[in-house]
Amino acid sequence: MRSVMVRPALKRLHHWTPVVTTFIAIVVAWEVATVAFDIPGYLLPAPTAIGAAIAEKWPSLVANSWVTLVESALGLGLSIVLSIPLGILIVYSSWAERVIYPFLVASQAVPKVALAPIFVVWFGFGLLPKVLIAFFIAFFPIVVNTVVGLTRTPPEMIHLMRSLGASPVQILLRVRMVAAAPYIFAGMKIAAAFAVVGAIVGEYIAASSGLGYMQLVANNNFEIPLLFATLVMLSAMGIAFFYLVFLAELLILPRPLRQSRIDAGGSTL
Amino acid sequence: MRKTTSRGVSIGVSAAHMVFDREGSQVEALRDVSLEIAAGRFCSVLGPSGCGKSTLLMLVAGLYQPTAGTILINGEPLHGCYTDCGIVFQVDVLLPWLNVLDNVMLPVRVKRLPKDASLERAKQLLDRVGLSGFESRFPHELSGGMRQRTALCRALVHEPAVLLMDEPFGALDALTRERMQMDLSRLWASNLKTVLFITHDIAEAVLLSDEVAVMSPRPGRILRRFPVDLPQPRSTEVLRTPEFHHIVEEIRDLFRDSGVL
Repeated sequence: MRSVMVRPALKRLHHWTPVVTTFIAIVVAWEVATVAFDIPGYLLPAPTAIGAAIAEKWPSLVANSWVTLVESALGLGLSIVLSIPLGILIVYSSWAERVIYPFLVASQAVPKVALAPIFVVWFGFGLLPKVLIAFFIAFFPIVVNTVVGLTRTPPEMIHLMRSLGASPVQILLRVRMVAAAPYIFAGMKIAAAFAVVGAIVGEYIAASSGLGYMQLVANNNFEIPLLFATLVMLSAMGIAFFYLVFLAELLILPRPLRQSRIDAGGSTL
Repeated sequence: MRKTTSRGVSIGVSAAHMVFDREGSQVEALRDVSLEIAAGRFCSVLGPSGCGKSTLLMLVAGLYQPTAGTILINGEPLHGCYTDCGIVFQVDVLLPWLNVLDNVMLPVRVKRLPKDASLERAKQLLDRVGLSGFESRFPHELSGGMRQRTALCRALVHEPAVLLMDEPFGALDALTRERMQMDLSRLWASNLKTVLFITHDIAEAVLLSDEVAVMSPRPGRILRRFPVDLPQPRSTEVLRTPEFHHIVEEIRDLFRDSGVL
């Protein structure tokens, strides 16, 4: 009985041990290298120096992280709320498929980062332009995955539902959306990472707070360890977002539709 | 919603034409197909692959509209989907996120039928095809045969007047197929529904049916209809009778004459 309880925990430990060990090894090698090769701190600060910078600037780092977090969370939220209905529209309306979808795909050829200065001109220096840039970068993978997921529903499944007298709305909600859910979640995981990128880019252009702004200031003041410290915060934020979507997936998706691996990008029915 | 009594629905196909438009080119799937299936009869449509026999089933289900001609249910023209039927496709199309019992209960939930009586019936059906004890398993945990048996139960749980089957056992191995054929024969004989059964397997058609309608290669037409006057329900004993072999040989001859064999 005891071994049955312990085994999954051991297995999980077994799965994570090499990851953690490798991470620690890289950090240690980095530390040793900076000392051994006498690498100047303004090129590559030692991990301990970065740690010291984090400890020293902790309140400021947290405050600025919060700003970036809010921007990217709003951008991601907006992209989820708008992209899923847009994907549904594209699948259900042949007009939308012929007219909107080509525009969406073509819009991906536009480097969205280059829109940032224009957004600043239009929407000012506050929260809005950052949220919009995050949204513009993040929405596409969700739309595409919603479209792909919905169109992958086997036609027989739809025939079956129709022959039972199900309405189009019932077919969408009971069958197609559920079948598409793993695809949509995969899209949201990509979008979560993109949203942070969008918020940072917005802050680079014009901001008075946020991790992107903090990076620019640290760069100008030649505080290289602080530059790296913000990078650590950004990475933590990106990982947190990813796991948040993963957690939502675990809670919402029925067991047979869940991806067994956290890093699985897509899934087939 | 129209409520039809379980027994006694006849199916008629009257001069049905079906032409598909596939990327600009016209594909004629069915040409002047007429067929009557009397209430409570088991009729197979037998034909080579690509002859349009699945299209015929889709027409009867009202899932496709014929280019010309009419589908008659109890003598009345069918408009839109025919919702008093159960369909079994070649693929099981179980919903992967529902367990066996919930999959079987899907028609009950979609049609909002009384739950308690149906639940009882669902369990009985599962028991009769040897799936009791598997109610809470998910489709990916089952074999192909078990999945198809679940699909068969799903097609019967709401007691439809008509059962439409599109090569339901085509993807199964020979032993499982034989077992399923006998399951079907028993289930059908205990509650005579009108059955339209699509297959390309001559022996299967003759083994199960009251009547076999043989179709030509595309564009599909009904070449000839063979009544099978063997007692129902059938068992594999039938395979050894001279009557069975006689009809199978006649159908083979017909296929040979029309260039299929």
